[in-house]
Amino acid sequence: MNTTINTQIANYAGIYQSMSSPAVAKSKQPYTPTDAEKKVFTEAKYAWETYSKSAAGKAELKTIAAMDVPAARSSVGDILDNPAFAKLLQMLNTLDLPASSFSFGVTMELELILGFEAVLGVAIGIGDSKNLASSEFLTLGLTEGIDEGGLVGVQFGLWKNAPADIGGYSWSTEIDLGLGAEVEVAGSYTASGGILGATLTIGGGEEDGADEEESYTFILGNQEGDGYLKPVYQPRKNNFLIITSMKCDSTQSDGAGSANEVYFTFQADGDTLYHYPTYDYLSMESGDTWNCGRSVWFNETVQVNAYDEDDTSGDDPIGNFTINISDLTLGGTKTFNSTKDYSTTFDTVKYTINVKLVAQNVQN
Amino acid sequence: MSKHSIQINSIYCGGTSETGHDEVYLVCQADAGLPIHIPSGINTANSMAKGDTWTFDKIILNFEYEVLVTLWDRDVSYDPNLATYLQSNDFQPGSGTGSIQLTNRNGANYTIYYTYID
Repeated sequence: MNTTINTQIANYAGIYQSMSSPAVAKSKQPYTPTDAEKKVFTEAKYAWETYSKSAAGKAELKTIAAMDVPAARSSVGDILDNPAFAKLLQMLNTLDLPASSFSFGVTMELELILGFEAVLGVAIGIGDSKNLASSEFLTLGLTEGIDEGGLVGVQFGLWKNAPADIGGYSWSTEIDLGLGAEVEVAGSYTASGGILGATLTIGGGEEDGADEEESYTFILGNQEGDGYLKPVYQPRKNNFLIITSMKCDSTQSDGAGSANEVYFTFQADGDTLYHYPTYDYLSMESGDTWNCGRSVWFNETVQVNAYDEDDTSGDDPIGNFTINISDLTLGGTKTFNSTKDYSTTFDTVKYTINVKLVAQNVQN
Repeated sequence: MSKHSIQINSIYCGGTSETGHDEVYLVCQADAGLPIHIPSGINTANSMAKGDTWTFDKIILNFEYEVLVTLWDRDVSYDPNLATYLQSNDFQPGSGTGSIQLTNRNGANYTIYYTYID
C-alpha cells in the first residue's frame, strides 16, 4: 500500500467532503456517443490491453503505483508515449470529435475511513482546443467498498470543455457501448443535467448500472510544492495520543528578536513525517505555552522534533522528544524533556512537551 | 465511530495578525482523520477585521476522541504553503456551551464559541 499517496490525496478528499454538493436535476439530456467517440473508446480499450499486458507497461505502472502525487501526476501522461497508444493519438487528431479535451488517468482506490475512488490524470486539448495548454487533474468520488486498494486501472475521457475547465462536480451514468463487461462507459453530466462528456473506465470499481455517481475534479495547481499535498491525514494505529502543549522555558537566541518561530515534526513508528503547524510556525518567547493539541496515531513510538524556523541559515533544532507507549498511562499526561540539550555556553535552550494518552489498543 | 459532537457557533475577531484584515479559514481534523476546510471549497476564506464576528450556519464536528480546529490566515489565494498559522484548539469530549480565546504574538486574537451536542 502506497501510504504517501493516500495521505496526500486525503487533503483533497477532506476538501471534497467539506463541500455541499448542489442539487441534481431530475432529468438530463440523453447521451448518445457519436461513431467517432465509439471508435476512440474502442481503440482506447485495445491500446490499454496491449500496454498493460506488455512488460514495459507492467513495469511503468508498478513504478507509478509507488510514486507520490507530484511524481505520479507528471508521469501519468508519459504512458501515452508508449507505441500502444499511437493509433489512439492519431485518431484524436484526425477524427471529427464533438469534444474539446481528451483525458487519461490512472484510477486508484483509497481507504480514508471512507472509501474513495480517485483518478489522477492529464487532459489535453483536441478539436477546437487543440492548441490550448493541457491540465493535470484529480477526480474523487465516494465508493462503498474498496476491493483492492492502490492503483487499480485507467480511465479515458472525452470532454466538451477545454482542459483547464474540466474541474468541478459531475455525475456519471452508465451507458452501453457494447465494449464488454470488464469496462464501464459512462456519460458525465452537470448538476443541471447538461452533458460534460463521457468516460471509459477499465479495472476496479465498475458497478453495473451505475447511475448519477457523484465526483469532483480538482485541476491541480502548477506552482511547485502544491501546498495541499503536505500530509495531514493519519492512518489509524493501535494507540492515540495528544501533544497537548509545548512550553518554552528558554528560547534559542537566533539574533532575530526575542522569539523563536516554532514548529515541530512528528513521526510515528518511523512512518510518514508530518509537520505541525502544517505550514508556518508559532512565535514563542520564554515562558510561553502553546496549547497545540496535536493528536498522533502510533503503535510503539513517536519522535517529535522541534525547530526554530530560520529563513536565512536553515532551521535550528530546539528540542527532540521521544515518546514510547511504555512511558504513558491511559488518560494520564506526562511531561517530556528534550533528549538532546541544545544549550550553549551563553545560551540556554529549553522546551518541553506535555503528552496525553487518550486511547490504547484500539480495534481498527 | 463518532461518539461525540460539537457545534462551532461563531468566531469573534478581537485582533488580526496583520494590518487590516485576516483572510480566515479553519481546518478541522477529527481523530487525525480527513482535514475539513471551512468555508467549504478551494482556497476560500472569510475576511475578518477587529470586531467582526463570523457566524456559522451549522458546523457540527463529529469525533471519537478529539477534534483539532486550526485557524489560518490565507495570504495568497493560490498557494496554501504561504498561509499564516493563527492558532488552534483541540476539543475533547465535554458538555455545555463555552468559548476559547486564542492569541498569538503577531496580534491575532480570536474567540471560538461552541456548544457540545453529545
